[in-house]
Amino acid sequence: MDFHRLTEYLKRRMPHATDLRVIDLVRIPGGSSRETYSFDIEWTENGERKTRPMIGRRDPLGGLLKTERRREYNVVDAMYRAGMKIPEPLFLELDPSVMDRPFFIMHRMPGRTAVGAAAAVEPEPLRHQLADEFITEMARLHKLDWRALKMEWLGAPKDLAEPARAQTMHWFDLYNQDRMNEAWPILDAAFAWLMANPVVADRIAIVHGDFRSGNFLFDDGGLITMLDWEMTHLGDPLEDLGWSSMRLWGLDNLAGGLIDRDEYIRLYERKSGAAVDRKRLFFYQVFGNAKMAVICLTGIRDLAEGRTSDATMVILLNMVLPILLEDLAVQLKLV
Amino acid sequence: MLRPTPKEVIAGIQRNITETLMPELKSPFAIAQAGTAIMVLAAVSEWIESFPKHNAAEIEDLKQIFDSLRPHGDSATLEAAGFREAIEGGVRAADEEPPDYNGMETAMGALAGGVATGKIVGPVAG
Repeated sequence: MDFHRLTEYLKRRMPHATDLRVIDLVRIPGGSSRETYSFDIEWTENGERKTRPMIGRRDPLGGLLKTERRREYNVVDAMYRAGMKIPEPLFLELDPSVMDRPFFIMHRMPGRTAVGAAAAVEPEPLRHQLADEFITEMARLHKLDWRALKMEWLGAPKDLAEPARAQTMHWFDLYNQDRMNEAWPILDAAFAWLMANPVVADRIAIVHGDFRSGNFLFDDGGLITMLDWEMTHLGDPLEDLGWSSMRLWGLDNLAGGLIDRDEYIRLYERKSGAAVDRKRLFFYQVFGNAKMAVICLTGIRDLAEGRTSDATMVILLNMVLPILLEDLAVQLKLV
Repeated sequence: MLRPTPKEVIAGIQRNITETLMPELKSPFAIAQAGTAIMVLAAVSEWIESFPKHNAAEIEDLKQIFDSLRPHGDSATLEAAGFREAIEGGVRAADEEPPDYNGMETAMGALAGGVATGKIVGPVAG
């Protein structure tokens, strides 16, 4: 993001502000599917000098996900208004002439992220607190009345069988698009299994799509905010539980690097007030591994074909993909 | 041996990033990317040595599998389960000179799908 163009843009969007200044604009790691920038703004309003920490997220040239900016912004906006722990969205700009590519700006929250082994080194009481707050937030999301929130635009499934089928086909199509004509026998097997063993949801809920350790900010006082809402859709709530309890995000038997995996599932049962169908959960754990493997292939293809220079994509190929394929081979009893 | 070797060149680039580039970087994103690039180069350095051997072993394994699955071999169970086309594709790929790795892997994908969905059962599945 260009400092001067950003300053001019904010001056236009905040006509009540005078002497507006952008401070400490830096690109920060994280959020691999978007370019993420941190900055502060300072301005004068009604004779008073004010400051605000901000985050800007701009569409990349390539990257992990191909999701639509307006959709993500509208989800964040709706979730903020629904009272979820989420940073306040401020401005959406779709005109690429402003900053080369669409972007949006939101309030910057404090805190750090941690996934897997990094989360597991946090003190045990904090890990338990984080797990409790994280699952509370997940259950709260799944209990939101999406009809009352007028969120049919996310694509309401026509029946309870559609979520598993539609998600499988969505990611299978992306797999075929981004595999670069390479054969991946374990992924072929995974999609064959997912298509042969579809599950039926017990209800339709708002599904975050990337609800996991590493996608929330926390400090020593607990969970502050959930991030990365770009894959949010309407579907089976167990999709989030399956995804978040995948081995990739955890360490050994610690789901998300936080608490024991069985305890984690029981915690969701308590918070959601409903028993978890283990067969459906297993489906979504297999699905999650396959989905993440496809996300890796998308990133790798963009690197190979020059749409991104993000070196992280090679780590996906070298370190993440083998874990996912190994898990799938075990889950599908191929080994 | 031609010097510098690819590994030595990669090690030189790693040192260049660590000693020259990184001290000049201010942006947290750029520093993280440089750190990742060093990790990637370390992996590539290892890969350069292991890849040819690994690739040859993988091709040989696949070739042996499809050799054993030629019609009238161990393939009867698989053919009965409706996987004749996959077997024939795999055998054809194994017969090519050099063997068609991707063709064999594609056939393996179909067979693995058969195992995962329970269409292929018994000793062959193992």
